[in-house]
Amino acid sequence: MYGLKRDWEFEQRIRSFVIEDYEGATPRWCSGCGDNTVLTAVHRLCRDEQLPPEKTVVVSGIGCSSRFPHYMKTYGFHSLHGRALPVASGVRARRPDLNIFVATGDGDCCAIGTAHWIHAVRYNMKMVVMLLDNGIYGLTKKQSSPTTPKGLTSNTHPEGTVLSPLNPLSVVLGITNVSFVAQTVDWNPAHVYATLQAAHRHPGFAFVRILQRCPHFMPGLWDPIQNDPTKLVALTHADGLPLDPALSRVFKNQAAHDPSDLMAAHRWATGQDGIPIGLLYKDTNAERYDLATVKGADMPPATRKQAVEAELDRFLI
Amino acid sequence: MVTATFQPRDTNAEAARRAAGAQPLPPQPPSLADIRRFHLTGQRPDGAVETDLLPTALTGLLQTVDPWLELPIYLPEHGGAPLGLGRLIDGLLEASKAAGQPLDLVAPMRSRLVRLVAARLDGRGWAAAGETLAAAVKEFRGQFDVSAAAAEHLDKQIAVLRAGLPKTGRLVGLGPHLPVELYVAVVGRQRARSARAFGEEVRGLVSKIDDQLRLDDLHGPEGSSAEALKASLGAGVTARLDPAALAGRLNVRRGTQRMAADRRQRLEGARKRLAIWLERTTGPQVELLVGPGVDGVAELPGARLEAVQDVLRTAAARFDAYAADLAEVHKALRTAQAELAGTWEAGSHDEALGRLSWQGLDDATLRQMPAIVAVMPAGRLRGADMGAFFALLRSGRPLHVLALDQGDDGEAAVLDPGLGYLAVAQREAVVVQSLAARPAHLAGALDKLAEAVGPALALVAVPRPSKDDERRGGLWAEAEALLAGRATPCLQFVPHAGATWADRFDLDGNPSPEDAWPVVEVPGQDGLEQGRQEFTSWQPGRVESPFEGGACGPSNTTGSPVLATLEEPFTFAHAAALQPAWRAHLWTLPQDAWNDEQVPLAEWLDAFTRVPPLTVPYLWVQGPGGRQRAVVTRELAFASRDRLRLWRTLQELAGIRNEHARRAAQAARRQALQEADAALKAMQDEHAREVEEVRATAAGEAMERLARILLDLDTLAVTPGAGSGFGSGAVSGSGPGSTPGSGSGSGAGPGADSGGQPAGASVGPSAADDAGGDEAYIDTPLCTSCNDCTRVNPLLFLYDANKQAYLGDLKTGTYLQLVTAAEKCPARCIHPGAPRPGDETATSDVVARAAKFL
Repeated sequence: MYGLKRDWEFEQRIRSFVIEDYEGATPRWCSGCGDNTVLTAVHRLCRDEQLPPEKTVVVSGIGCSSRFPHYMKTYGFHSLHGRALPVASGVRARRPDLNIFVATGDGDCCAIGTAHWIHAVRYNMKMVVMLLDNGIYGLTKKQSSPTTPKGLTSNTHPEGTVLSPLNPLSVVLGITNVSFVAQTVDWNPAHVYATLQAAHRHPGFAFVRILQRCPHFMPGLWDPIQNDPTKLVALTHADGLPLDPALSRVFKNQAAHDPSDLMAAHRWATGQDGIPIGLLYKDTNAERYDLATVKGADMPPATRKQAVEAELDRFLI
Repeated sequence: MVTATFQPRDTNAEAARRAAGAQPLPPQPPSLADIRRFHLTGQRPDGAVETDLLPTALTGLLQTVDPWLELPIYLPEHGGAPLGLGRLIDGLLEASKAAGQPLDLVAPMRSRLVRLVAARLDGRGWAAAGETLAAAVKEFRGQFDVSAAAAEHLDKQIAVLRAGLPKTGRLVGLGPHLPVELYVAVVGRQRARSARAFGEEVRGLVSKIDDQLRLDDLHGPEGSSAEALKASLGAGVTARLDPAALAGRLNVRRGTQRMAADRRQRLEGARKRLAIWLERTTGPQVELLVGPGVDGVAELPGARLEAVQDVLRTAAARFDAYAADLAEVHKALRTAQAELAGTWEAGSHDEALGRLSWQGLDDATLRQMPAIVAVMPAGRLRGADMGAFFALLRSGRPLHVLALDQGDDGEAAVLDPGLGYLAVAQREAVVVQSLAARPAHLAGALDKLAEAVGPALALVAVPRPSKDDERRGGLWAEAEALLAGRATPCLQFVPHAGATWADRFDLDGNPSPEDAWPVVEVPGQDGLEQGRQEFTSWQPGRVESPFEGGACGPSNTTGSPVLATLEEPFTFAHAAALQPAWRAHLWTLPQDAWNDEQVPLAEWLDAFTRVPPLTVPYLWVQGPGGRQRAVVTRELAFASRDRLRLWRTLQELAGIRNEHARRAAQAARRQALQEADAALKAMQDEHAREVEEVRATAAGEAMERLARILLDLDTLAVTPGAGSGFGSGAVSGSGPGSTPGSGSGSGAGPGADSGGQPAGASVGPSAADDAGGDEAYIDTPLCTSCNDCTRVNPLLFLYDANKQAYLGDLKTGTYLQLVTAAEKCPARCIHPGAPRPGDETATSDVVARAAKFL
């Protein structure tokens, strides 16, 4: 805050980060796993936005995708099953200076973590939440998750799942104070990157569902749309995701969608007009709980200590 | 145009006549010669000087602004934003109305209440808000004569009003005190806020140093002494265990090291220096150095005030002392930060901090020292102190100069607005020019000073309070006149505000900034009379009107017919008419002295290009019977021209009526027109040429057809329904190969070209593509970075800067590896191509596997 004029500065303060500064351990995901795409996109995003590694934290729950923090050379928190979002909210509540990424899977977020998921959306604390949705519990060898397609056989449903899958997009769009909802596919790195970049720049809770392949337990699940990109509908708008010419050539099926139109976003989320990718909804003016929770965080240590002691003194007998 | 020769009146002959006892001659209207003589020399035949000139345009001007909205100004006690009392009361009235309790009896009388408050500020120019408002409200209530029923209603409203008015703070009226009070309020508030934030940071740092030193103490033997343990554990614990025995057990150290002596010394030194600084920051954050010639500036809360003689040099010396101190504090700050972070490097820190001076400190740090402001009359800056002033501006010291421009009575240089312009020319200083009569504008201008990171000048026009009642109008009215007459134009120049002059300079706050002079609507006779009454009442504390029952202008004036409303430019001379120094430069003429040689001053100025016009300029003044002409001396007319030229310059700097821009636009327009004309002419020529060509061709064809018909060679060639067959054979036959039957077989047509291509030489682009398909490649943008290929051969498959795969040297791998990686790749972005010659792994089986990835 206080210091020397820039040309008088003598300590080396200007840092420049390369991708290696964010690479942690070598990923141990299966061959062909879509998690790799997302990991590389986050590496690139951190590099391009020059996020200081010590100011970045990745929080996860349990699952294949939740190994994410191990592969980032930043702060990380591999938390309990379904509890990635409360942990991330806690971090955000007192550390507004950190860049928070949450890696969660369809089992972690949409099953055991559903209650936290709903309230985290409502809190609208600034963070990027990546739902890596492969439609299966992969880490525990193929059990049905809430997003498993109907009829798919699994260890928990040997004769095929009975119910239609939960739609995470519709759920999120239905929660009060939702502020950012997007969808992308793991087999297009450029689109994943553009989506995560927009999410990172959003001032609030940015929810990104990533349709993801599990080559081991769900082989060929997304082959029809991977082989025929026209089955996807790329949503375009001046306030939406930028679709560069290369992506435009790949995703020929495009539709204009104003991301401020919540009702239209609901319609797209149902998938009745095709599987949408891009930005479904954005509201930069939504209320943010973290703006309230950070109050007093900049209190000097002495003042804080004094306040804590005063509070403790109330319990003296 | 009327010309006149100057003929002085024979005053000796008149005196002789009077000496002989003859009756005095009836008063004669001034002759042409008298008027011209006055214009050139300022000498009137009667030698009189009019003391109560009131330009009619002033009445119109003053009707456009409400003086009781901004003045007096209310300054909250604890550093809130300054606010005009009228605005404050308006806010209360609005709030009451919104709450369903409109103060309908009080609201229409708001100006009266403010006026009563202003009357109580006379003398000192300021007063405590609580007491003054309470007394004024009481007096205000006493002025109502209402029935008993209405009195109850009124009292309720007065009570609501009184409850909403501030109980603390200060009220400041128009005078030299006002800009100084505002400066302390605006700049002092910013400095205090900044000092609080810096103090918090320094306190936090001191606390961390203490923790570090305490930790170091604990690492020593005294840290685990019996006494220390006893104090630490408390009596409850030590009653049950022996601190000495515990100390004996704890005092076994395995590798714990004390802080290095030099490091501890640095931390302790830094802590000491920072603690001294913290003690100092509790004092006032504004230091006023008041120079000679500034009257009426008293002690202010939130500021240290000191009267000095050589104000600029004292300010510079004071700043240097503070700056050296601040540089030392910053050294301590950096030392502590580096030591606590463990990044202290003796090599770089010792050398860099050793040469540190205030010039290296950033803006936020420089704002930690008290604002040092030199308060002085603007006249000193124009005169004796000008050299020192510009030396100070060039030095770059972030000092503020608050120059109060009250004019220099009796000198021709009065109200010279060139000082601000000169300071702007220096380029590095923040320069604001405003007037005390517009506190809101002045507060905004002082905000610029508060943000200034270099030297700054605030030039504030303050009307000098009347000492001997020589002025007849209110101070506020005079100030408004000076602003409208371009005598004290508002301007702001902030050098760091942007890259272009337009970003740095503006003329906000001036009336009619687009025009040479503001044109005001002069009311008719009734309005003028009312304006005369109002004009006197603008003087705080004045009750009676000096104009009532008295004549305005010479006694020999004759009445003028009642006049209707008209528009009149408000020039510098209109403002000067209210100033004692300029009164002798106007002469009110009786109507029978008016002639065509006299022209309004604005017209006279418009006609003045290289040489002055031969006419005599005048302006309209208010007499008891209506408007009258007051002719203006050459000196005042030239002064008006000077102000106008400076105003034009300022306008051009602000991008208003910029002649360069106008000429550039004109040139661009001219060029565009020329290009359009040239293009039009070219099209017309082309059209004419084509028409001529068609005409010639058609004539030839017609002649040919006629000849054929006449010779009866091919009459059947022209048959109805043959389409475009009119001469088509002859015309189209000239095309290359388009009519094979008529062609000469030259092979010039496209068909001939293609047919003429040598067989076997057709290696087209598609063929080349096919050849390229043999090369192995990776569609890098599609790579999902899954590491599958790099696991197959990390030399053959490499990652780029985005961590997406590309092919390295093909010689480092085999065709089999390429095919294997392609099969593994989830993004299907590896294309093995054709095997390289000599690759033994390229068996027929492998080549077959590769086929689907080509």
